[in-house]
Amino acid sequence: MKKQAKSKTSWKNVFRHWELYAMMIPGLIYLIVNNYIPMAGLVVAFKNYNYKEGIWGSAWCGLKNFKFLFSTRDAGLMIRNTLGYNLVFIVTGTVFAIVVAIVLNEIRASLPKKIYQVFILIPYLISMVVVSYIAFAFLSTDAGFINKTMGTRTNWYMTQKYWPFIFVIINLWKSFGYNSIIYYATVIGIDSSLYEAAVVDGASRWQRIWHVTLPGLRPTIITMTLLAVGRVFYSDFGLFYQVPQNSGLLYDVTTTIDVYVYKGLMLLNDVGRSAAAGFFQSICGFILVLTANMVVNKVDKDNALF
Amino acid sequence: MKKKALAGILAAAMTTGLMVPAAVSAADMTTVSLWIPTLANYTDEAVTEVEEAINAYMADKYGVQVDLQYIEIGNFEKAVNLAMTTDEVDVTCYFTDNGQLSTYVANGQLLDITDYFESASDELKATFTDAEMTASSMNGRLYGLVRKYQYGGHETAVMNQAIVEELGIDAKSITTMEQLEEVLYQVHEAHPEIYTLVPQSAAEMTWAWAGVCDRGIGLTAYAYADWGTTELKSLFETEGFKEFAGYMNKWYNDGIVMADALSNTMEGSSMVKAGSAFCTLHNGDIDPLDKIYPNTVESGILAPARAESIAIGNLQYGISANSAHPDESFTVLEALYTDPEFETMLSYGLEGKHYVLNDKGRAEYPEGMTAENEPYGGFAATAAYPDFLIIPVKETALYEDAKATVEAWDEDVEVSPAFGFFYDTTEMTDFITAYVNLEDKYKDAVMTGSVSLEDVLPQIKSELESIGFYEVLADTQAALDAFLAEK
Repeated sequence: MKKQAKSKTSWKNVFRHWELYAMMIPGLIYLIVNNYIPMAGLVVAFKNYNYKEGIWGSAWCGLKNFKFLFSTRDAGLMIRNTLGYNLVFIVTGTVFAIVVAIVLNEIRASLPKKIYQVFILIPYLISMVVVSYIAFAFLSTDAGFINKTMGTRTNWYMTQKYWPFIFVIINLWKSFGYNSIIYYATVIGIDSSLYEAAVVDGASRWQRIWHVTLPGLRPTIITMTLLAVGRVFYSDFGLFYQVPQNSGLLYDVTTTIDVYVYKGLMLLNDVGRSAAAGFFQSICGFILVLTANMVVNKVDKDNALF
Repeated sequence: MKKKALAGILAAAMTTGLMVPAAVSAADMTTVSLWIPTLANYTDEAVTEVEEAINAYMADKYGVQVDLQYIEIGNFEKAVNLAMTTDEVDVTCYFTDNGQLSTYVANGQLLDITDYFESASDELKATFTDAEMTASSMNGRLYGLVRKYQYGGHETAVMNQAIVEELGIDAKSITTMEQLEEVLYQVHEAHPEIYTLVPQSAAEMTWAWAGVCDRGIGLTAYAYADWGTTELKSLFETEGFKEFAGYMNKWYNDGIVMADALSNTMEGSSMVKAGSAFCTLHNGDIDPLDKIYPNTVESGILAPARAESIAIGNLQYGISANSAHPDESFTVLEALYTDPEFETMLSYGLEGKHYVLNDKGRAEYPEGMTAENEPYGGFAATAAYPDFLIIPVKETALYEDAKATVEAWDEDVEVSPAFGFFYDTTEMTDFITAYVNLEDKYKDAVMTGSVSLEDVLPQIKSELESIGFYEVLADTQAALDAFLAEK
């Protein structure tokens, strides 16, 4: 009886605000058509995909497509690179973005603050292909800024040892603006009375940051980190393929799962394998997010995502 | 209330917009899409004009329409592969020089056109030699028609004309790598401000495998042999590759080869034309390269004309298995090889606008037009089209009769002894991926001379062993020996 009454109230509610629900329809259709219906295509990961037969007509092949990722000699290498870079990116990216957000918050003059925000956001909007040319302008053997300035002839595109650092620097440069704005939005939302109380208590600037700002940022840090953890099996294809110009001698430090799958796909046009790789990355990400959230739930229940 | 009504109207409009299907052509005739890679620049306006002229002609003669799809050659293969998952592509060009035909057939991407071909005109059937039919067939079934072109090529060098003239170099007398070396060092000393030798394209030092080794044996990506032999080897262990790598490494260390060759993204010929580089190695054939590239001089022949197995029919035209109009697509495919008027319009554009026929009946640019400003590809682009033997000869050509010249070339060229041998790698996809990654890792670095082959060969061999390369090669060798014994 109670349930029936509740249902009636819900429909009344929909009827009363019909215009809002009506405006939701196009977005909902888009979401279903673009994001949910294609999920059925995941079966491709388990099929010997034949272009003529299509998704449903192609023969099943069990887990054969997944073997591709693990039977290769490069399996350890690409998983190591993918996870390793992502973990470093998460740590450095988070720390740097928080620092910048706090520094932005400490700037009082409005115009310089806006100018800094614009400048730090620009790299995020630049295509990785353009970034690869900017990097080349720095790293070219003959005419690169670094070699010209230092009077050396280092061939950067042939020397593996530099690239883990180059990737970290480029990733940081490109992403910190966007992340810091998210953290900055949180910082400015922290209750100002907390800062005022800290000042009254005689807290220094550093103490205010440590005892007010950072605790206030904690939920955002956890959310952002959990989202990033969900993508640790993915890599920025442009960063690892375009920026090092697909230089063969750098493969040991540039081969990530996405790069390897791309090469396999381009060579063999095998849609099944790339679908299997994508499926594997999604499942691993999903499990990692659940696990990380479970840990957060145990340590600090209020800040867990669910 | 007004706001509510407006919201309702907007929502209805957006929903309707989502539901409306894409515009449907009102034309009664079937439109066949034709995908062609570009070897030069095409303006949208010129393509539209040519397409309209072709369609006016095709409507009367065949009752079909053609939708020209020009894709930049560097992206062509990827674009076609993606488009072939749908019915977007009907007739398309495709490359086979990395053994792609077996991949296309294994994936069901190409339509089996055997039955169509058997009931086609005698004119079409007479167009292709046995070798060409072999090159476009798999397991006795026909999947495409090869571009009518000479097989393989020789190795040559393209040099900047101004420097050749300034230093009094006799380009045509350069016929060996030693002679080329002498000239390169001379130029390097006189013009240290420019690159002396640059890759032919991006990081690829040369496409002229005539000067290196026989490759693609069995239409595989991994089997190589020295020219004239049938003993299969890894690329890095062929004598030809070792010799080539030796020259390049020495030249690289002496500053002759562009230092950033591995990250180069430009065409060598463009740099030579522009004067920012002196020389690039190049594959050559019956068309003189210095007529194609202004401000350049072609050297003598550095390595004789040779054709690997994959060089015969390395560019083909076929029909996508997902084509919604296979009958009409074959009509267009057949016309590409049998209808000179259609093929001429497609290759050269509109007479009087993009080309003119001179009093010798040869095609040349209209007055005031050059290869640089011709809006419909120009004569350098004709190599991408299916059949240049049925269209007027270019003014720059050194021959009168294209067909006789090509036949004579094909007669003389040294064809790989393994031609016709096919080794099925359908179940070896993991190995192929691992091998190609390994080859990519070292090939360009060694061929540009950026690293010494001697230094990396032990590492390469160990990596080849770890992916089971030598076992696979032994199996392929056994199959090749059996094929040769039967042959």
